[in-house]
Amino acid sequence: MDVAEMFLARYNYWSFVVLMLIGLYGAIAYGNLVKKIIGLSIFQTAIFLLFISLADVGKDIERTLGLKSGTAPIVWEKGIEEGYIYVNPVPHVLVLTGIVVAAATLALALALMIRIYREYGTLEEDELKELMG
Amino acid sequence: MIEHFPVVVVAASLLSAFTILLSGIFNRKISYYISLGTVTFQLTLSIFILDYVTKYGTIRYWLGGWRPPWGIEYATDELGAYTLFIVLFFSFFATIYAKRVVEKEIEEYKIPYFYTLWQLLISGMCGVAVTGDLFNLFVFMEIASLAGYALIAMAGKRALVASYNYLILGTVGISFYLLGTAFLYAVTGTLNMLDAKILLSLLYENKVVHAAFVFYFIGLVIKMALIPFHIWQPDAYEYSPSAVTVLISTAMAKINAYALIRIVFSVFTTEFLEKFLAVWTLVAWIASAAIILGSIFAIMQRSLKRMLAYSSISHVGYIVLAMSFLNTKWGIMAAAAHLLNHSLMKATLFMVACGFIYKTNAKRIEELEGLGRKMPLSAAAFTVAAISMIGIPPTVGFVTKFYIILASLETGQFGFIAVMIVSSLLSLVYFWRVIEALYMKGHHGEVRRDDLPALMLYPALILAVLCILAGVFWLAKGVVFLESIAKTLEVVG
Repeated sequence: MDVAEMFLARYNYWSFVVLMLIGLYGAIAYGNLVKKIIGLSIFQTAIFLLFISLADVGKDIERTLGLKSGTAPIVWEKGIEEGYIYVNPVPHVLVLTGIVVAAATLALALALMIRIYREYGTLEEDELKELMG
Repeated sequence: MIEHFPVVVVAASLLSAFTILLSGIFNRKISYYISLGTVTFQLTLSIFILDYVTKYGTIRYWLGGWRPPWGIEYATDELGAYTLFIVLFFSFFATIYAKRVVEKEIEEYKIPYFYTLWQLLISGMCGVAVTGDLFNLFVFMEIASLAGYALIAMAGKRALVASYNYLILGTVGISFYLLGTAFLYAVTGTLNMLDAKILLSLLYENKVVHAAFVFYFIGLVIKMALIPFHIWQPDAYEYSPSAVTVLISTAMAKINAYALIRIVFSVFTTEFLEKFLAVWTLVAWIASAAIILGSIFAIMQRSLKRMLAYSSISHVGYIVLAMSFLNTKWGIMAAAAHLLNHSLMKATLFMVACGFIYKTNAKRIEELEGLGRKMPLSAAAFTVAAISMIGIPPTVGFVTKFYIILASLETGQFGFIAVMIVSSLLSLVYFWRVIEALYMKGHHGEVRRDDLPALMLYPALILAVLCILAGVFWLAKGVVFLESIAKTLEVVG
């Protein structure tokens, strides 16, 4: 496998790495509470992207054996005869659950931010530190 | 019959959470009693589970009848049943304790919401203790954490920012856990812990497996607040409502430690760790640094609750240090015993510390002067737990230190014995200030006795007595039980 293929054929994994690092940096480095939660959401979404990428199990076999991949995980006799490989459904289920959890986290964080803003009138971390003494 | 109990324990709490929410519309007084009733019921079930598991071995429950590794499996072995018991035992005492403090600290119309979240938190923690599925553990941990963040924020003001910071770091931690699961799923294609363990035994040289282990470890260590990742913890413990402090500092902290023990020993096994002994020794020294630094930070605090929070950081170090001994059963036995021991001590200490705030609004240590005479029974409970933290035999604090010292003698790592002794001395320093303020300072002469209300006092007193009784139990008969835990986790030596 040459270098170009390593980068281009696995673009989803590379975007996972880039997104994860952007998200983690955003969650930790910024002083604004809204920016932090945006970073955190990107971080979580990056992990979901990784799970989804893992689901497409046929991708490598496709090239070597001449099979087709990426069909829905349902019983389809014609598809089996013609050598289709279905997508692993488990990661999709996991990601669905993960999205629910991420949405709950985001909602809770936003609710907290509203309360913090009402209490202190700012969402900047250093200003909050000053106000809290 | 008993095989169904693990799932009933989790479901009971979830069901009661929404019952409380609905019944709260009509009657706010009833919320507390529903919550207490549910926890009592769950505690009874958990005792049956613990008894069954020690006699007949692991309970394996297949949800919906789907066979693992395809379905979700609840696998409750000795350690799981023991942790479930710890969680519900302390939830029970914290719920009894909660009645009065919640009435004082939470606005009346919010009380049903408080107990709804309270039950969700307990449900999540029970779920983590009984599950045998890696992704299921993530979901239950998030249920517990999200309920926990909301409960902390219920105190308002500073607690809001504390809760927010906890939310950010907690979510980063749990996301690392999820990332570890993704990596493990990529190489093994399974989420069942037992199945993953079997499949991993051929893959110990695989780089992806190494990465998965690192993500799991870092993620759970952030949740546990081991020293470089502890910044969220003191604020969360100090500013949260009193009842919540008692629950999260005992049950919630132990659930994270349990998850780490579960992943490290039941999924990755000691055989895997022995290949990276140098790294694992580094972990032991980081844990030692956490023990010492946590105690030093505790000495520097002026607020009593914050001092206890830093002392918790130091005791997280104990559990991680105890886990790091691989060639002797005493290490993991100390870790397992410390799950209960630290909860007993910290529950008593926080119950009394929050009781001082409840009664006299005394937050700082110097404000406690003379309270030893005004509130003699609470102060006595605090002193017993403090003595236990210092580690005087036969208290529970001594038992953990004794086991860790046995482990370091057996493996020849004598440095950790010094760590134990220094840690005891430092605990003596920071608890002495409190005991001195309670009994020796302040104006002399007649002081009117005005102790805590019974619902707050008796849980603290019972737990303080248990600090001694449990210590005797561990030294006498409990060793057999701890050995069986070490055996299920396959740590021998």
